[in-house]
Amino acid sequence: MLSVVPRAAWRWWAPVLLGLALCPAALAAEAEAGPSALRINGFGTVGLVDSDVPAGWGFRRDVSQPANGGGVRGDIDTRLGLQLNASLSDQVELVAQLLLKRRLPEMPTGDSLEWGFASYRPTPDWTIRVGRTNPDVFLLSDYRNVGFAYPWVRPEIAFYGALPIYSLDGADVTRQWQLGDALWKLKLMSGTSRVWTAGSTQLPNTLAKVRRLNGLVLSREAAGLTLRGTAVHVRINMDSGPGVAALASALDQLAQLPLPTVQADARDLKAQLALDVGSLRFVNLGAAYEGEHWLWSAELSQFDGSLQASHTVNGYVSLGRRFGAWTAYGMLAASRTRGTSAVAPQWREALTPVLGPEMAAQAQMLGDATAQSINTYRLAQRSLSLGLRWDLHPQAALKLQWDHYRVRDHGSRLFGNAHGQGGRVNVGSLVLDFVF
Amino acid sequence: MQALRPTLIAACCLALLLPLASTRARADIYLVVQAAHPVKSLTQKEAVDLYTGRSRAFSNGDMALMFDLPRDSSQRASFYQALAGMSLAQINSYWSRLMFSGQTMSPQILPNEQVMADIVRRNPNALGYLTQEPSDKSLRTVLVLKVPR
Repeated sequence: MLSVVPRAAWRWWAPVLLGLALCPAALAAEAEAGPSALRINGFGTVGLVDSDVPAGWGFRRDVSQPANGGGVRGDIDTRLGLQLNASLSDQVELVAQLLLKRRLPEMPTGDSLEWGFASYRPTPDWTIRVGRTNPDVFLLSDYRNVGFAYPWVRPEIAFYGALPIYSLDGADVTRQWQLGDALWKLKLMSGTSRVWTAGSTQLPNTLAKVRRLNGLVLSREAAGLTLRGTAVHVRINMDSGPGVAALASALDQLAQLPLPTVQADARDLKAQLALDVGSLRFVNLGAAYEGEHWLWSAELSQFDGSLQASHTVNGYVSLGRRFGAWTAYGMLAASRTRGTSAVAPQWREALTPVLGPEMAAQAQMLGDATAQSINTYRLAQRSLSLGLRWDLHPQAALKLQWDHYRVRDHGSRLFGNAHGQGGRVNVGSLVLDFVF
Repeated sequence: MQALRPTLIAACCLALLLPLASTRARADIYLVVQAAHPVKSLTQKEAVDLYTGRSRAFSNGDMALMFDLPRDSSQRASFYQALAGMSLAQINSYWSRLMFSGQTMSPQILPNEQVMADIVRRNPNALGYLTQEPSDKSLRTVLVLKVPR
């Protein structure tokens, strides 16, 4: 029976099926010990967003959300999560989390299972998890959907929205130890994943398969201050679909022409296209402090990889102050893809004598489209956010936030703009976050 | 007038009881384990580490199983304020980070102090808290948290 199901499709279901099979045993254990062995909790957000985006742009929380036309929208931040924890013993626990949110139409229903893993703690200081786990590569990665857990309406979008590797089918091992007043944790993770990214208003949605993600996280917590360093290496199949493959094939043909400048341009452009298995490396440093009245956090990450468009630096700083049930906060953020953007080659004149005016015009269009496609993946934006959180109930908070984005030319990846012009965007958000 | 009398008596009783009720709400908090537990006492830091998921074991290495009172209860509010200086919203927000990231489960919520005392009495790994000093010899107080008056 399993032979007809693709291997990757059932692999992450294994811990969940195991969990369902073992639940009666867990419940029986509960009856004896008293404490509950099976717990269901949830979190959610109801949110409205209004943005004054330029024509062809749309504000979104991350690049796995479809490009949209801006205006007042309820589907950017609204989501609902359910989590089931089943303790089979002091050492073994099963966790499954289901997340309902706006997704790309191509994404399979199975992707709603955010996590499903078995966790084994041989001693209080060691944790081994197997199944679909959460790659917590940034400070807020593994609770970015739980709005109640952080002050802002959403984690900084360039940081958390540009690389949506949200789950990892594999395993991780964590060792924690106490050194003086500080709690240290070292985590190693390895696995595969699938990353859906929405194209722009002109480019199709694509699925990138993460063949292997290996990561290391070291953190230190003491007196409300968390320091965290991450190093991750990803091998990813960057195949962007038949459209990009057709561009590459046409560039190959142009590189055969006996014109050295056209040959060089065509090879250079092709090298920047996302075509095959490539690699991506990134390091991230994060710090967060939470005191009785003040809270601040900052993160800085640097990406490198086989594609020029992946060479990105992101950073943000945030400061908040509590006044009873109210928290006022602000955030400054910046993201930039290093290096210069791809420039459309000037082929028309050079090619007209060789190919004729019609073919030369077509080749020029091909060069323009390729440069535009490459630049679509670039990020160049700065933002300022100001907001207010009101804890109106011990399990619910209302937030109001204003964001101002300044996006430079060829840097509007997150806004789904394929034309390349820069612009300014104001975003107003009102959300209700809750846990239950 | 006759009809008003029971109401007046009830109001007087309530007025007399109210100061008592407020005194009880401000009582110190007693962290308790089973009387046979090898751990004789906890420091406040150890208690903070256990109730904030930073540690899962007592100082002797035994696994600890923490219990809590209802999420919105006044006893729980006093407990976390006295223990870690955190409001209910802060501790709930903190725990939602750990719980929904699958790192660790928050302490199991029990309906009231009576159930808390029963569970701790029966479970050798349990750690709980009560707002009144336990007179019962089957429970041992390992830490007293002073609630600011």
